[in-house]
Amino acid sequence: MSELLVDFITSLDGYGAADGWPGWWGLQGPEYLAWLGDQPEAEHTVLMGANTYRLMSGLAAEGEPGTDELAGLSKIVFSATLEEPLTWANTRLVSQDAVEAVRNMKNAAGAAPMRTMGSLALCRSLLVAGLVDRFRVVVFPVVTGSSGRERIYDEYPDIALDMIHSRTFDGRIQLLEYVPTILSGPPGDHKANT
Amino acid sequence: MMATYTFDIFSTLDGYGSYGPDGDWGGYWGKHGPELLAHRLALYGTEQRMVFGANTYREFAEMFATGTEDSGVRDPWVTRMISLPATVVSTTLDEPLDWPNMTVARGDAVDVVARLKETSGVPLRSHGSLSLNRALMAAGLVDFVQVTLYPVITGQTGTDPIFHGAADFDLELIGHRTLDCHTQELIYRPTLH
Repeated sequence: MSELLVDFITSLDGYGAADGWPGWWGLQGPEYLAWLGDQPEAEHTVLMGANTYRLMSGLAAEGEPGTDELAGLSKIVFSATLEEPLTWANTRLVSQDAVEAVRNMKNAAGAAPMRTMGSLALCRSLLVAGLVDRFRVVVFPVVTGSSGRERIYDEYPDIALDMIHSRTFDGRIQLLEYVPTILSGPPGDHKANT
Repeated sequence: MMATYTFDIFSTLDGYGSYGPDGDWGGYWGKHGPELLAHRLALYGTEQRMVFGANTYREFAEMFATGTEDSGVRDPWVTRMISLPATVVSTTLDEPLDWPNMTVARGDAVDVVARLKETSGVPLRSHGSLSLNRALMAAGLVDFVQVTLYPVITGQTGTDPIFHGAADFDLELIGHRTLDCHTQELIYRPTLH
């Protein structure tokens, strides 16, 4: 089985983004950026949904700093609406159900490990289906009760977490990494747990 | 010198302070261990004054009257907490209250705590009391937010979202520690953004 890592950045109150704040809430520092640069998941295939693909490939096309490293990574976008050819280099389009596709990829012999980028709905589906091996959040030191959007945990099941790693970057950014165990799903989703 | 005010709160990773009737988590979401309990007792061992909202006082008092062992209300740090001098901000509660050193303060929480910060000779600390602390944070009266992040996500059973309806804040990380290898305590100094 190849591993699947769900990987988020978040405010303390669980939002992945906020109106009027810069990227990383303006709080990235040298230690965090160095870790991003040489983290061990560089060989992982990056999984994303169509919205994240549109956003990130658009930023990459505009030459947004930090996106050039993403170009060389092996990427998969799950979408029933996007069409080939995709403009972002090294990106494969998968139009079948993401949960089924990822389950097959995890079971395929010699398959590369995988990690997500953004893509809240995709990550939720993969979690509920019990396919996620590691759940990692990097908590930035802000509360965005007024401006936060894309709350990571909306419509999540109940999940028990085993902490496997924690680390502080630049004296302010907190990494928390867990192995998730799904305890219950939203009504109707229980079948996905079995 | 002004007394410091610490908002001490237990949270799930997804930011809920409690859980509804469908959740059978038990106290501390079942994730307490010896390091956490020792740390809590040390935190409450020093001289300080507690500040509670009326709802939290009622919930605590009811839990204390009826709570079972696994709810955590019999743990030494809780016993210590309710023995500390305390102010409960309420327009409806009347003295005498169930707890020995508790006085009721009428009026607006912001005024009450602003005055306490000027007059108290010991640090102030609040546990729970979400709406009270939200108002105090908005007024810039909270010096430290001490969040204990338990290793659970409660997307289905979570209640009392801690920062729901809060303003935007910049946080300065003052302290961090891992307890029992799975629970993360984070202490921040909040500033209105």
